[in-house]
Amino acid sequence: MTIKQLLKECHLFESLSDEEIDNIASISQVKDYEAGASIFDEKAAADELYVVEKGKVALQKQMLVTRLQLSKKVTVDIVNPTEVFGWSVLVAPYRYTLTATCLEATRVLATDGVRLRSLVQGNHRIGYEVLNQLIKVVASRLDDTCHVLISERLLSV
Amino acid sequence: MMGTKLRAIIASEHSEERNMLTEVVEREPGVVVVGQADNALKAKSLARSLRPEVVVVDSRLPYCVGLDTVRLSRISGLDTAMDISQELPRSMVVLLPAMNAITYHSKGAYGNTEACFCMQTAEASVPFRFRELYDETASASRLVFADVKAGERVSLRQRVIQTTETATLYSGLATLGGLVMVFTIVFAGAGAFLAIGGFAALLLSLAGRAAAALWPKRHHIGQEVRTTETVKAREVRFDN
Repeated sequence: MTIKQLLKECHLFESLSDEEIDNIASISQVKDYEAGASIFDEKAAADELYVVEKGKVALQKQMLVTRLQLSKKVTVDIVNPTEVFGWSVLVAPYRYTLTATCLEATRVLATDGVRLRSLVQGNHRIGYEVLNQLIKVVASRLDDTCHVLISERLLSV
Repeated sequence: MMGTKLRAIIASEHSEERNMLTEVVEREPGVVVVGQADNALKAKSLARSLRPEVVVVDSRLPYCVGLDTVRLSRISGLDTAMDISQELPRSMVVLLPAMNAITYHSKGAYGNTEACFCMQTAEASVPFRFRELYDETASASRLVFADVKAGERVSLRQRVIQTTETATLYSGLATLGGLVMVFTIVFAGAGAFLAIGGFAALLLSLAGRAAAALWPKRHHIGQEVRTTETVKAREVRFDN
């Protein structure tokens, strides 16, 4: 799959024209990670936005278990092919809110955050379309997390 | 730990997948599955009580038991594997990508082909044995990212047949080439040598082929498996 094809299949960029997709493609590069590799850590500076081409990525939150005085990571979502993660790159303070860990050998398309931000600021149509889709991604992830939380609490009663 | 059995538990949501994994795990001599779990809570509880040497976890594991009316998360595999790895440092935890028994059935995991556990080293696909991996790393808390791949078991008889067929072809060609050279004046000496050598190799390969035909068909090379797909896996050490 070419970079352009992958970007077209990704919901975040589905409203963009071919020319606009080319602009995004020009600031993106393919990266490969082995299973178990960490793509980015929570609280690190968000410098790239990712689209999964193949593989699966677990998004984890660091939790402090006060009773045991230890911290552990809890998975809040798993990202599948053509889905996007690392959206903190577009939202201040530009720091990742979760840790991304590859569950299997994974290939992602990494878009440069600084250049993406300047592209979005320079072209308001791209900015509107991307942020409009980004809100859906964030809302979907929040909805999933709430649903899981409620379901598992109901089941453990 | 050599000589003692390795006890394993399997954590995967569906019974069909657990049974398939159990079959693949127990194919290795000296490894026995002592428990199965269909969710993360049960897997951790089993691991704490049985303290097995090996824990195999499907990454698409629900947190707790499901009801038909409640949607489950099925994202607890990695958390479960990390928790067990931290709590039981002597256990080797093998995390698999999302299992799908139907996929393995369609690939012929049963029947003529068989499945095996593989892990990644650079770009290579490496089938591994739990015993070797466990003995290498028993003292460390570790989590291994691996995969189950369909593979084709190659019998010794089949391998001998394949080898002798290739040898027959090339030795026959060498004999013919040697005979052609004999008819020339310049290369007659070398041609005679080639023809005699080729003919001897041809006789040997035909004898090997005949022996393979009489070979008992049930003999296999232990657990040797030829994988058919590229496999990626990686081992990760957690520093607590």
